[in-house]
Amino acid sequence: MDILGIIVIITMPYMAGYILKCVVNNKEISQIETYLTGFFFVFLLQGVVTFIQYMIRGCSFDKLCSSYNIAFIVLTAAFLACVIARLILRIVKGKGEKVYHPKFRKVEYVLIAIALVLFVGIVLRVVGLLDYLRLDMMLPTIRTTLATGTIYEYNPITSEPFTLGLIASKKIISLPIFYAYICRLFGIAEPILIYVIMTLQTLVCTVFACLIFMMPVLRSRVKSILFTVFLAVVILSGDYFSGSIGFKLLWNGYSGDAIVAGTILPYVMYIITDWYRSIRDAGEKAWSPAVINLLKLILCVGASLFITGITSGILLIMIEASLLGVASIIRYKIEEGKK
Amino acid sequence: MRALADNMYTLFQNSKMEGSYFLLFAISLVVLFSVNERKNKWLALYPVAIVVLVVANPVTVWLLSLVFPVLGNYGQLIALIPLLIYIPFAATELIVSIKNSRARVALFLILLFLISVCGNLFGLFGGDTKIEENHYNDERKQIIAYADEASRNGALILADDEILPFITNYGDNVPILYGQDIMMFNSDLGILDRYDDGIIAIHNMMWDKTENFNSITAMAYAYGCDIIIVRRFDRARIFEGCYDIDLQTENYLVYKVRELR
Repeated sequence: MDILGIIVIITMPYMAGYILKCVVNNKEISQIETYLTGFFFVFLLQGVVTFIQYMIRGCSFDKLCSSYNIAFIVLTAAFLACVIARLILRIVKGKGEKVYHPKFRKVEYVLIAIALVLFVGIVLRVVGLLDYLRLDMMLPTIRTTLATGTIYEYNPITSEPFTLGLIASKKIISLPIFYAYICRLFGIAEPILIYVIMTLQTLVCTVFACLIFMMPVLRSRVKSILFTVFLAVVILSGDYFSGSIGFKLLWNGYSGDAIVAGTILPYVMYIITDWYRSIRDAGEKAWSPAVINLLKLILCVGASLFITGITSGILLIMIEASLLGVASIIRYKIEEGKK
Repeated sequence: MRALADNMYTLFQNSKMEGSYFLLFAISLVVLFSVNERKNKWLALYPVAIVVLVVANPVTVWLLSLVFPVLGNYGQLIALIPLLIYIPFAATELIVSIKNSRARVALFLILLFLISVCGNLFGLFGGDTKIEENHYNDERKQIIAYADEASRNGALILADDEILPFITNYGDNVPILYGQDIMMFNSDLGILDRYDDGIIAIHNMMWDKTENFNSITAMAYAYGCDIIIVRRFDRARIFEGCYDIDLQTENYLVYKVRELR
């Protein structure tokens, strides 16, 4: 069951991303962007389910789990429907133009092997220090939720009931509840889920987000793999003080602020800096690139809302997006002026 | 004004790219501008530079943190995003700019080594990492050793929430008034043990800085606590009750009941 759980956790973002990709019918969305958007969509979906069932309807944890189950089944069914629909379309319309992918060169294989070794190094480091990673509030919150079947009703440190309740901005953070659900569904030990699986998933998504942002500059595959290797070394070696992002990603990757800082913010940077290009090169598309970019931005804001609350995460995303937006507009005006 | 300056300096200290990575970051900028300035400046440099200068600027972060108390954390993380982008990108550009394949390999290895030693590869190069020595430091070890020794003599301990997780994680089954089950390994869900109202009241008083420490110790004594471990704070010093200070460290005060029961 553990292995099944791990497989589902790893594949769920891709399933969600694939559905989104099919809905917007945009072939330009790469595989890693599919995974990344799915990663955010899963957080958004669980947040919406929690918000409706817990915040509005006041359901218990058990009922919330039933709702998560339904959402999970719907997600899986939608994914299968998309895959089948695409297969049928491919049979009816034919395969279309074959996209040429250059063969991997020896140097690329070597670099990929180095990147994998570094990834294994990160896994070993996290697993090796598992016993020292238990001093934050996430783990007791998950355990309290699982044991009592209640949501935010007991102080996880003292077991004292929250007589006055939590404020809405705290209640809206549904990440521990979602983790508790996954632990219950698949029987995964809580420390393994948050300290190993979620941390590694966030790390991988961070690499994806940075790669997507840098792709227009890197252009070639060798450079992308080289960039990934150096990025992995920077993360692996970057925990030299407790405020560093390497520290946050290696040891708190499961937390909302690490997910926002490591994955959502670089992806928002990509959306904004790529906005103009995507509109300029759009051609005839079913969905306007502006609409798609707007939806991506809403996805990021929504995911941030449910994993970090209603204040800082969203505020910084909005500030970053608006500043980069202004910078991008100035840039393209200057470029157009030169032409 | 002085407090404001101190506040902003602290924020700057928290958000700056401390250590050798800052040097690498500065070198990365030089490399990027020298290798392919025209291509790199808009796509890679300016967007991130704007984020660093405006969003992650300590002044902005400080102003926003007046409204949103946890904002400083994000400002700090945003300031560090360039590390993830500039250093690997500059390293990549530098290697690709070299024509000789042997020189490329040599430079690749040198850069890997340089980034590793500037950081803290596998925790080999010190720093404030999650490795046990930093996380569970000598001072805390001293406190836990004291608690272990006292518990062997049958003492019951009251500890505040700051040191409590260390006692439960590293102590040798130290009997404590509450929180015995915090963050235990595996699925020990003893955190749900229902404490009585008095113990909950003690816990709340330990948090409340307006509470008189004498009333805490009076209640702790009534519950049979032999040792009280608190982080240093002013009210602890004025305490004159049935406990004496038995151990002082930089951050902790340990009180022992006058007659160990």
